[in-house]
Amino acid sequence: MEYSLGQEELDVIDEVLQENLIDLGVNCVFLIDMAGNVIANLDNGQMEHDIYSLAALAAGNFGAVSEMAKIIGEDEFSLLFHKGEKESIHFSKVMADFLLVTIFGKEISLGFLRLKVAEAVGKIKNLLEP
Amino acid sequence: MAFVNLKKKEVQVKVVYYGPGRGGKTTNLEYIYKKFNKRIKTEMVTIKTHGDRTLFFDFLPFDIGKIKGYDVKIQLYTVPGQVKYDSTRRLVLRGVDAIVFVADSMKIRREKNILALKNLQKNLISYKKSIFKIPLVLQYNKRDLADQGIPVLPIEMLEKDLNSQLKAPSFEASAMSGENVVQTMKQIISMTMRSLQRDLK
Amino acid sequence: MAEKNDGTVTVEVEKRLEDIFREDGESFDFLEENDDSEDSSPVELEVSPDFLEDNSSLEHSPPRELEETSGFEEDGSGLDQSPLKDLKTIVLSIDWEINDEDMTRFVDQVETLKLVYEYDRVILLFLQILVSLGKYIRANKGNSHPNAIKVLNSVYTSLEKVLLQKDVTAAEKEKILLVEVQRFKELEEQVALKRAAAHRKKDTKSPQEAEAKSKGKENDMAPIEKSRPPGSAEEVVSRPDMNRMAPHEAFAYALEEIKQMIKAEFMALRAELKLWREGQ
Repeated sequence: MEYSLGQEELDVIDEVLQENLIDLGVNCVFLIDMAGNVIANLDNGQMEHDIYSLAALAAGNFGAVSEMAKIIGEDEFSLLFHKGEKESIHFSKVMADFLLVTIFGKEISLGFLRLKVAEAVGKIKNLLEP
Repeated sequence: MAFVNLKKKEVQVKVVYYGPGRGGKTTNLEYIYKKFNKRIKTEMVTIKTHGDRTLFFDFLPFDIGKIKGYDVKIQLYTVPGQVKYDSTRRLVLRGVDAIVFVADSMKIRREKNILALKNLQKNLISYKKSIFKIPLVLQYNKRDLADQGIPVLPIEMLEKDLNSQLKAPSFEASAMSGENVVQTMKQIISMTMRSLQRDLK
Repeated sequence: MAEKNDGTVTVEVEKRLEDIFREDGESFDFLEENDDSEDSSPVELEVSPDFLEDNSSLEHSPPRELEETSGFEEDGSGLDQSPLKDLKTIVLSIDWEINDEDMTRFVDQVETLKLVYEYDRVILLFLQILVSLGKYIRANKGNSHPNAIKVLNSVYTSLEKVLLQKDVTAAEKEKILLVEVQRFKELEEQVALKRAAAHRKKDTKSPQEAEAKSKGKENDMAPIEKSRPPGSAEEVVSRPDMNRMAPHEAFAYALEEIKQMIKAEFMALRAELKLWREGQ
């Protein structure tokens, strides 16, 4: 599946991520493809993570977990989330080819974050779908 | 197909080092990293077992700067070579733009080289890619073992086993000493950029 | 032409690679840094200690620990017998996922508990706050104020403490309640501010619509203002006074305030729902 994203669409994606997630207090969010390439990436101005390595690992991680799901007879898992002491990381599939990865602190509840992520994903889907 | 970000004017190129287990794929990247990390200002990510076998992949990204107005970012990956990691290899191959096939020159690894190459072909097919079309370079690694009295395969045999149909550029190398490691990498990047240029037209 | 372009790119790439990866003859002992010695034995499938299956450790997997951040009571035995058991399950699941079904179950469960504790004023008040929060989150979901769920968790935790801990006196229970009331009030302010900001944003986006809506907005906001007790203007000032009141006085005052507040909250919710429906 080939995608072509122009400046306008990427600007809208940035806006969606800013409004739904960064403004909520999320530390960092990035949209990647399943090969680990970074399509969009925003943070709260205080992040110094190596986004490219994170993206590669996120894609690999998600891919590995997807394979595990298939082996146990699941189509896919509805939640992929890693809880840390200070920061946690949440993954959400966006259609078949993209992944939205969110890094957030203890102030945000997972349940609420998932609502906001679902909203953001919905908006991005509308943009990416032909 | 390389990933092109029109907004950021970036091109991301994924090169995967493939080959049998313990053949020297990781060593290739480690050499490049150790020798040039200060210049290319990058970190290498490895996911491996306690026994130093690649578990998931090694990853070495670096920029080569602007080419024709686009920032070119190269991403070197290795795959785990062990047979049991076929799913992982397939995962890592997703979105690949170019291959360096690192063959093990040790005589006892002859069969494994051939099997690994067939495995590569099969995994590429699952992504509707052809081993005959994708930019590919062969590296016959561990040539230095001959000096230590360890039986190595003659180049002609390696060429016949692995390159008779592909007709890809090949290099004799020693990843441990660094011989032809950089040349292999330069060749594959060059080939990939040329291929990308053609594809973009 | 195309070939010319091809050539230029390749030349540029090759030159760049040459510059970056020139081998200067800097002395670099890569060999010494690698202890890997090649062996000529066939490749064995090496398994590190982490991957060895230790079956004995799998047999007695400990019960799942409650997440610390939620601050939940870990007194398992007390909870099992308590009417709070079902509510707790729902609260835990809301922590992971907020959906209509669970929020409805939450509200229903709290309503049921209100019948159980109808003669206990402190518990009843806790429950009334929880109902209010539950309905707010259910109605607003992703548009809820981010602190709503935190306050819900906090109120629940305090409720659990008040109900299950054996050594809590009546006075302490009231104090704990007051703290939660305070949190709830602060949330209410935050919600009101958020609403105001949202309306302002809509105003700046379309001035014509804003004019038409502003009258409507005022009507919607009015009921909330009217239903506040006459002393509400002094609310902000009176809070510090509450701290100086005797616990039972403060409690009675808070009780009255909460009743009014909850009434106001329901009206505000209805107004919001109306606005939302109009916006559809």
